[in-house]
Amino acid sequence: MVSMSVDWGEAILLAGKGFGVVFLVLVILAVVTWLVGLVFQRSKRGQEEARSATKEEIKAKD
Amino acid sequence: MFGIETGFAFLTWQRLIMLVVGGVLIYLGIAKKWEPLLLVPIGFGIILVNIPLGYQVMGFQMPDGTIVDYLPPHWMELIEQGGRPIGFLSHIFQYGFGWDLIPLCIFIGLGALTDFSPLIARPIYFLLGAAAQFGVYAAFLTAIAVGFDIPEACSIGIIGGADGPTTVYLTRRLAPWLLGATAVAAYTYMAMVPLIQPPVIKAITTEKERKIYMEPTLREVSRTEQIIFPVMVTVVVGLLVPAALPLIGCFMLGNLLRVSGVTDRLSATMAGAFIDIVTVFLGVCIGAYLAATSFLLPQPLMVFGLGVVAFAFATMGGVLLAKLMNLFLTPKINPMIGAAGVSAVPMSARVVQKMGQQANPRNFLLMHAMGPNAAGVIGTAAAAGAFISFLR
Repeated sequence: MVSMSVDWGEAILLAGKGFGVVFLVLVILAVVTWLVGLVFQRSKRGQEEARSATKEEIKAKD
Repeated sequence: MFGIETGFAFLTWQRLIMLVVGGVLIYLGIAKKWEPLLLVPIGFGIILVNIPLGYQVMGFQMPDGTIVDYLPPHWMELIEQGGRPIGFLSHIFQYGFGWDLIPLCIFIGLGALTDFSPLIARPIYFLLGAAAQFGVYAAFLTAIAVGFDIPEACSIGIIGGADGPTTVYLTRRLAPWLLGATAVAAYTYMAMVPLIQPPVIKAITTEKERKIYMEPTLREVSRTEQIIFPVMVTVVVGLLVPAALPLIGCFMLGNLLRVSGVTDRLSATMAGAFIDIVTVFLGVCIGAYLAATSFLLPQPLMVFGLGVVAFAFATMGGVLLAKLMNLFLTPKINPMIGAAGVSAVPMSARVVQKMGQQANPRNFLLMHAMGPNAAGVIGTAAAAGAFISFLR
């Protein structure tokens, strides 16, 4: 606790930049996580469709 | 008495007050079950260090032979001046905090305890974790307004992240003389989340909003996604905010051990015995930092007051962003889950769950609240890293 003369410009800039960095980091993480999830959900759906198609083929042959 | 020097002659009223404070924390931990794993060792540490002539506990011997039997606020200077730890806690304190070992080890354990599935299933919850960091910056500016300098204000602001190890890590770097006050404030307020958050949430939400129903289940997250997540977070945060890498790296290492499926023994140890041992040392050392001579001063007491401001604003930030998101989302989310963006895991998620059920007995918000809760831990670590980077 040093001085009562505060450089408010610096303080507000620091708070603004800090909050901006946090938001940027978490938004990027959200986007990357969403993209990874999208890829996995699509590949899972594709696998399920292929599996059901194979089952139907086997049924049709029987 | 019987030829030995007793401590009675040195038992000042300040020490007596601190002995009572230690007793109160032990009482709150045991009787009220407020964060007992932390408050009990912290309370006992306070008692240990405030018994006069206790240099065998927390003592340093200076090069000229004088003995300091408590840890002064500027303890780093004591070590720089050649002070040699002679008490058993002085050794733990010097290496555990001076080298950052204790907060980082806690983070490994926390990672092994954290389930990121809700966050992976609904990545939009990252935004709520970010918004809750508003408390950090609101408390930072308030601390400056009441006369703290910028490094001290950063250490006080981070209390709003509701993350004990991050608070310890940042304060040790920027304002080590405030370490005891910020750490005790962070852990005490984490324990008081059920008291602080509900009135704030009620003040800024309507009953209709609190009743918003959310499906209790989230999509299933594959094991591969769970394994990719900690590696991805480490790389992204490490590249964007390298100063946060020690915290995030340890957190994600613990989580990778949990989800890998082949390191169950390590994960079980990290999430069990390891974190328990480190927590005991953390608690006792924080308590032992709170000697009457360094705590009963206006500055640490003001830190304690600012902690409430930080928590209240953090809660508001998360809830208000959730309300804003509801303008665009269909189906709407219950804005109370935004309050879990403070990283007091899982306490704030439980508060949201409880309030959700009170408003609408059909609601089961725990899984949803765990998403912002986990994002909040990452957000607070990023905020701490940003402060360190800016002030370096």
